Amino acid sequence: MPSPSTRQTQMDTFMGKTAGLDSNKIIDDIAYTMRVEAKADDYTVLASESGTVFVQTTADCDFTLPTREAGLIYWFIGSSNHELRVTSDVTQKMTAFNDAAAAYVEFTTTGEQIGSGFMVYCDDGLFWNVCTMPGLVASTMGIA
Amino acid sequence: MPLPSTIQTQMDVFLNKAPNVDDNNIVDDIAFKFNVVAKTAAYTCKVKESGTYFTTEGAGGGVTFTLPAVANSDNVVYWFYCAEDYAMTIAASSTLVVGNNAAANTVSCDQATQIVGTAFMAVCDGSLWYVFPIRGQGDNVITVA
Repeated sequence: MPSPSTRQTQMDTFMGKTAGLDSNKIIDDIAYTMRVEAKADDYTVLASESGTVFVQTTADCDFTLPTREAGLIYWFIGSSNHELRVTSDVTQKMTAFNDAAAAYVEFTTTGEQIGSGFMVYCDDGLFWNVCTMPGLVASTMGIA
Repeated sequence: MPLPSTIQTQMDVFLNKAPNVDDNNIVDDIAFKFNVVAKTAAYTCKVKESGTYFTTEGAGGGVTFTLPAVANSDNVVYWFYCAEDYAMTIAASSTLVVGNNAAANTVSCDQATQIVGTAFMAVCDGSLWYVFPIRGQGDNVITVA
């Protein structure tokens, strides 16, 4: 009988352990890779890209998040001296640095953008929650 | 035909959802534990350890983690957590994007009183390692060289 095409499989062992669930019904010692996508222009993120690391490369990038759905998660990071902005699908549905109703977060100051990033996930109250990871202590995050 | 014994299966439901991919072809509500590995001396990470959460728990001195060559590391990711009051360094020759440097060799948490609790996530696109600093406190300084 063929396996369903959508079955999550891991056909080998990892660290000498076979894949499976533990007594808590969770996957132990998971080994995984992440999807990394380079962008050089504004981009509307897709729900189907949850788990992706987006890299701003050679130009300003304004990433617009998809329709909020609990559990979606994305990473964003700058690799050049260009703006990195992450915008909620609707205003006032983003929480970040001392703002419970933001519309977007960004790094826009030259000299502070390379290596500055965000992790953004959607909670079950349908807010985008932003974890800010500035490249430098002095890197100034913009928020509105 | 029986399934291979090593197939990764989720034999029960989690949060009342059967394991599968959803309409967006992504795994919903994944439940997992990290492979957590403590290192007390310099260590070169292996590609097959992608996803591992390295710590310096138990170290009596500084620990340097060297990342594998970018050409072999497309989509590879590691986490690093400094658990002792000794410097932790991530090294990859001229291929680190971190702290306003697009071609760094190293990034370290090495400033006195600003070491324990600082972490890094490093992910590779096959050409560069992108490093997200996760500071123990917001003003903790990391050193990029």
